[in-house]
Amino acid sequence: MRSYQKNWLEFVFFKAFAELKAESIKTYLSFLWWILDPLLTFLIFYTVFGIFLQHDSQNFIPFLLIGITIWNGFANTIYHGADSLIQNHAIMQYVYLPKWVFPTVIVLKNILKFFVTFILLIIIMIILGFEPQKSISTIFVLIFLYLFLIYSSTLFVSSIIPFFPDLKFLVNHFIHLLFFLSAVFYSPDMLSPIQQRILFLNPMAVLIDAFRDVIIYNRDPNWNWILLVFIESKAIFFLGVSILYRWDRIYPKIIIQ
Amino acid sequence: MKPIIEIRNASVRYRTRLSWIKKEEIWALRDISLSIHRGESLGIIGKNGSGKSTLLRLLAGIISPDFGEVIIKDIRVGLLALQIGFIPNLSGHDNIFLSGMLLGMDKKKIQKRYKDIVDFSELGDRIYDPVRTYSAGMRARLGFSIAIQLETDVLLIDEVFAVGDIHFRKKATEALKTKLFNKEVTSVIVSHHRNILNNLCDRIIVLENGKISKKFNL
Repeated sequence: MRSYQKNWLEFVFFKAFAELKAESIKTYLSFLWWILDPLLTFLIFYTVFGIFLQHDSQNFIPFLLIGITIWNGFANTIYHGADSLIQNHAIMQYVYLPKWVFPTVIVLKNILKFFVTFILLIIIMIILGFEPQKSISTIFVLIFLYLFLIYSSTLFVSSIIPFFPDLKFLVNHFIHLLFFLSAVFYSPDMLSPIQQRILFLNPMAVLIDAFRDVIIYNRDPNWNWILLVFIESKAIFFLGVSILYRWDRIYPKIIIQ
Repeated sequence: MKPIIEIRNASVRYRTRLSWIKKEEIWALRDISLSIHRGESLGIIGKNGSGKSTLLRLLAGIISPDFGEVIIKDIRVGLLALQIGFIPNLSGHDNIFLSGMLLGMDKKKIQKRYKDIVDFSELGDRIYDPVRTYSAGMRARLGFSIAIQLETDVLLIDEVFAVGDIHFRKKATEALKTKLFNKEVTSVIVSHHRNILNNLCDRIIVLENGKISKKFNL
């Protein structure tokens, strides 16, 4: 059963830009928040770990900047994408559209924000004297993988939330837990080899570590772990997509309380 | 002639979770069969909660039946939805594109129709103001002006007649009639008002508790 084949990507792009525009109108500083938001997070962490706990690594500032930029892009997208189907429940009642459209809009929006902060990050790194241009192709591979992970996770989470709205709370705690398991403010080298192995089952820990390897230490990331991230992302992607397709015409029937 | 949409023994149920264990089931449609042929105009009448809107959603391919089947031929079906997807913080201009694309038009087509839409809505330069600054009537006018541009093989309409002031309502009804009397267009119209349906439709079905209780040919 189908009705009205259509290229929904055009709509996805238009809606993503429209929502960004609408958001920016709501605040006085509008687009500046894209940069201020991660900057404030950085300052908080720097105050706690850099000043109070006297983290004595010479590269602590770039180390923390990379961790927070990469982490924020991931966490914000999932956080906002989790209830994208619920947010758009009214629209679903009146038009048929494939349900991947809603989480994709959120992902696109947040990816744009991420790119702005990431470019800023690279500029800061160059000012601080790092030369990531040597391994620019590796950075592109990592970014591609990172975006793929964000997209698949958001698709998956958004596909199950409408059935179990209580999960939204669990998702927030899970993101919190994942934050501590992603080595944002510490180095995986501090852990025992076994602990490291467990830590690197978390794709975000692998990616943050890999970005640091490339940008700060100018060395190749561990490609075995990178491959694992790709396999994990692909599995989550297919899981999310199949749930969304399987229940495509069921989502509008779910009564939102 | 073969029908373009066919519903066979379809039942639709909504589930509400009252608590962790308790669930409530509401059968919105029970064992409905219905065929729609090219060019005809079908009216659906019934009380609140009789399943009218659910039937329309089933015809639009928005939901799937829990039992039975719905067969939609290779045609475009569109529900005439007003103000769908509006973002209040954005201008009427931006919302024309948002809403139009949601209804199934592509950007190019909307650009082509843009002037007609703005003219029909009678919003003038206010089209560049955020929709949140509009009165309810203005918003309804804009919504209708966009939706009326919808060109699908089957047009589904759920009570959209009463928008705007008397002058605009008249204009809107006229535009809708022109659309519906076009022999190429198949339509299904839901309403509380029997006389409106008598005017527009070839046949009418009455829904009661999710079942078809009466059929009339006009």
